[in-house]
Amino acid sequence: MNRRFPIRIIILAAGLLVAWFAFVSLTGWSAGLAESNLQANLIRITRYLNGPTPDAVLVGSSIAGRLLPECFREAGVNVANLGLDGSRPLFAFEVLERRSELPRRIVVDTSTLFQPLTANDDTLRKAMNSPTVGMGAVVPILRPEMRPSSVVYEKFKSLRESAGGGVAREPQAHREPASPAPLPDTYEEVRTRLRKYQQAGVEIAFLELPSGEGWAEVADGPARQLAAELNAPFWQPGPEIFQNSGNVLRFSDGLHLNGPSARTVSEWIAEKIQRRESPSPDEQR
Amino acid sequence: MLFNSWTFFVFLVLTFGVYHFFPWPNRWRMACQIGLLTIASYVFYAWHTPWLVVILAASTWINAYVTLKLVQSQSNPQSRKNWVAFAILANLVVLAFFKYASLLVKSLLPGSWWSQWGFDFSQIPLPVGISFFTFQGISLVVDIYRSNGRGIEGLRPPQSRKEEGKLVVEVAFFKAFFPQLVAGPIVKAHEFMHQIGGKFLSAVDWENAIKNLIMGYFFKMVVADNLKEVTASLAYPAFVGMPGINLLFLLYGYSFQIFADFAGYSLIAIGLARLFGYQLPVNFNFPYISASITEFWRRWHISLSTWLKEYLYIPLGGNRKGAARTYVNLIIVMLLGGLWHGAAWSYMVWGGAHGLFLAIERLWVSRFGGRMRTGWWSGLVRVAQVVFTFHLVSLLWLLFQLPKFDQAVLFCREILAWKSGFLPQPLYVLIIFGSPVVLYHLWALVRPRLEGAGGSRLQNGLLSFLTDLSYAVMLVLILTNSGSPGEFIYFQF
Repeated sequence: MNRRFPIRIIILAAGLLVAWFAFVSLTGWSAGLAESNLQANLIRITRYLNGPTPDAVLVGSSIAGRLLPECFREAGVNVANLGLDGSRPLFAFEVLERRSELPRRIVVDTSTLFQPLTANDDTLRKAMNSPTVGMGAVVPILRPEMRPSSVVYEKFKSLRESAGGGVAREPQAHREPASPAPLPDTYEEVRTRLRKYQQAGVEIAFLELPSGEGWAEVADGPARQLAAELNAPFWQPGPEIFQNSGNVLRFSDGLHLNGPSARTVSEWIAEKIQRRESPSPDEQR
Repeated sequence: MLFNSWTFFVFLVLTFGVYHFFPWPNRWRMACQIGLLTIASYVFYAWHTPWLVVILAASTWINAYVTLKLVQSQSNPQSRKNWVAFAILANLVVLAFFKYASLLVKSLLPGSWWSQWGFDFSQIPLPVGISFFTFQGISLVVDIYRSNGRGIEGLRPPQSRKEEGKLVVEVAFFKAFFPQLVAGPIVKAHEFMHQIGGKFLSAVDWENAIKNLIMGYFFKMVVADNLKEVTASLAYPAFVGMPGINLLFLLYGYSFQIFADFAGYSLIAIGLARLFGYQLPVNFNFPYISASITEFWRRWHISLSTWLKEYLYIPLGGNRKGAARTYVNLIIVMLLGGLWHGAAWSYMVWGGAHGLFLAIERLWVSRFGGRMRTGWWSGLVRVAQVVFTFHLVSLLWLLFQLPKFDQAVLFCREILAWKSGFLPQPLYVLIIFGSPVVLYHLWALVRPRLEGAGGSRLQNGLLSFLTDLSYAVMLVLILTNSGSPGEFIYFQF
């Protein structure tokens, strides 16, 4: 029986952890995306929970989850992205409230805004309460964004996308709403929460992003109705932002923006946040 | 209580601390430690559904009572026979009620027959670990019965009321010992009872305990829990239309996940037991390097396969009653072994298929066995057999995830149709998190050569350092790269 074995292992493991921490610190490698939806969500959530209070929080589904935090940083605004893959904005509101301080602005992605919570949200809630995520709050190297497999995955993914991966789509003028009509309870809960935030001094903005289906939502959708009721701006990036940037709208899987497209849209949103735009007839089109 | 939760960590630290560091008087050390572990095990079991301890306690009481009766009626063979039959029946009735009543009622009686009596069998809860502690109970009474009432090592006929009480406590401890309570390994009485005694911290086998725990948690939290994120799509209709390469890797991924999940649990159980001074049987011995289904069952869930052999196959006659009866016995044992895994006919089909392959292999070996094992190509043949067996086992695992037979067939047809292209994200997960299982099995092939080589001091030192390094890497990955915490697959069995 070797009683020194546990000590040797602990020392070696501590050495490896320090080496990995030094490596990611020196190279600046950290994962914004991950090999599974759950891990990608945990990265976004823990970045929000463990970072400084952001100027704005983007709340939504995986469609918004593709937007790039570094674009916001480059534009000088600190935006936390709580666009959660396979999850619902209702759950993102729960995460939002885990911090004692609310952000000054909340940008709400409308793609799944009125859909009820799912089993994915429950799994995510459990994962957030797991020992390793809990330890990550204290020890940065244990945070999901430092996961070796996610860091490597992101490198692979960016290599693939920079080589021109993804499916090009021509912008469509209009589309019918793909999501089912909102349930009255869910609609009411979303409305109540957003009102509460407004009363706490938070500025709300709604955001309709292009997805694989195309560009525009019908003019009188429930999200627009709610935006009007709350007197909140409704932002909708149109084909012109791609024309101006010389980029082509592409989706990595036919639904989600690929890297370069996400960059164009992120820069456009960053500009909006910087300008702190209020609702205008033009935006309520 | 899950092994991979904060609650369990606190529970373990407290139990371990009191068990080893409390200044127990030497005379009472054994009794106090057993009492403590038994109470702790009941707390562990009751954590989420407290009333379930009633079933565990009732099962313990029946087995302890019959054990006493068996050792007290040494001179009366008929009485002993009756008592053991009663105990086996009682154990099986409890198991059948909680686990199989719904299936049997649904399959055998008209749909409305029971509902008009106001009793819904599908609402009967399945107590966690019932399949495991029931089998342990049966092993206890059968071992005592087979000893002709003389008792087994560590469990002798009591000579006084005080010793009777001690026997009951020891039986309660044997049944409830928390590392193996909910998902095994299935410990047999003759393997465990003789280990019961006062334990000291100085006797703890730290190296092997820590190795078991690190590897167990690594398999569960890093391999199985990450693979789970992708193998969730091994469900109808999620897999329909996927590229062929993704389907194939999904099949492998599920095989790796189920191994990592269950072998991980067993290793954690063995490691935990070592911390308290007990040795549980090895449950997995590199099963995916098996060259036949027969070998697979000598390497997979060993505690179950040996239990089935000792307490079912041999009593049925084993191979002593001619070739035809041997094949029938094999198929019966595996059918029941399949049903043990779950109350669904798909599990029985799974077990039956394994039984059929066991019988076919036995027939094959009896006819051509000698001829297949000679010749220069034997190594190549062995590799082909391993690959074939792995694919066969993996295809049969499909019935765990796709209980409807037509869906499992559809999955196979989708693979054969082989749609081109690939989905990179799930493939990445399957390759990255499946590779530790492959490496682990390759290690089984390399290890004997390295250990038997008798290298220089430098080589041995290097090998020792690499071993330490691999455990340290696993520990780091547990901390940095775990998947979403989830229940162990075998909890449902």
